Amino acid sequence: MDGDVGSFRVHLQSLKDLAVRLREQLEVVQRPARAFDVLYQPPNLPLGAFAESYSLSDYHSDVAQQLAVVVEKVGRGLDFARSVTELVAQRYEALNAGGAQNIGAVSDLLPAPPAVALPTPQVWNSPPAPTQPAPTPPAPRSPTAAPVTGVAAAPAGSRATPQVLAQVTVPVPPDGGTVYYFDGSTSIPLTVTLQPDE
Amino acid sequence: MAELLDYRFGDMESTNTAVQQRLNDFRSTLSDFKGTYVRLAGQWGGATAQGAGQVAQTLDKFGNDVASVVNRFLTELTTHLEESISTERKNTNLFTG
Repeated sequence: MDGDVGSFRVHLQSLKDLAVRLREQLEVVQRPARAFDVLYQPPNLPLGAFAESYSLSDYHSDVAQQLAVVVEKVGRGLDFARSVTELVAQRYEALNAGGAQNIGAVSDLLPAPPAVALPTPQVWNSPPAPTQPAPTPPAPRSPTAAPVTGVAAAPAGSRATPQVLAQVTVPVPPDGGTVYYFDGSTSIPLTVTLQPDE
Repeated sequence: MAELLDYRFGDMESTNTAVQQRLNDFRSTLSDFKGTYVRLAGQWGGATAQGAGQVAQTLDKFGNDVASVVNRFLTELTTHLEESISTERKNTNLFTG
């Protein structure tokens, strides 16, 4: 963990491993502490009823008692270190896991994109569509102004085959309409006569 | 589980500020979009204006939903930063208190 204010850097597994080691050391310390019980008992030694024997017995009891106190303090210190280490690790782990879960859960709230079909403008009212004047055919010019092409008509009443000068494709004119031949510069009115095939 | 937890509160706060700024930009764009379609709908006519209005409303709702989710995301980020600072303070107090 860094000492910087406003940050921390924790290797979580190492923290947990340290807590495990502290627990193991605590067990190691507590094991001889249980063996001290035998030291608390007054020694059953036939030293005799002389003053030094009582002094030795008291000294032995004091040392045993002090040793037990020291071992107990060491044990409490190890247990405190273990519990603090576990608590710190649990807090960091809970913080990280909780944050990941809460932030990640937001993605479940994302709405599905709507299927939008953009409209194709078909009506345009503003500005109004200008009324285009009907195209006017070019002004007819005299047939003498341009070579006439088409089919030479046979004399009236003749059943001779018309002489073909040139063949052009023209649309069938509507009733009362006029078909013009227009080569890009000259316009010539044509007379179209529909005849049944013979 | 992540091997290493590397929390830098200053960087986290900068990220949250950036997300907040993007959210503001998004809401502003959404508002501009609504104003534009209202203006266009007033100029158009017929079924086209009606269709455009429906599309705009659908996108507007979607945009608001997205903004709501981003806002929730920002709230979670802010909460996580506060909890991180609080956790660090509590852990530090275990040794100094």
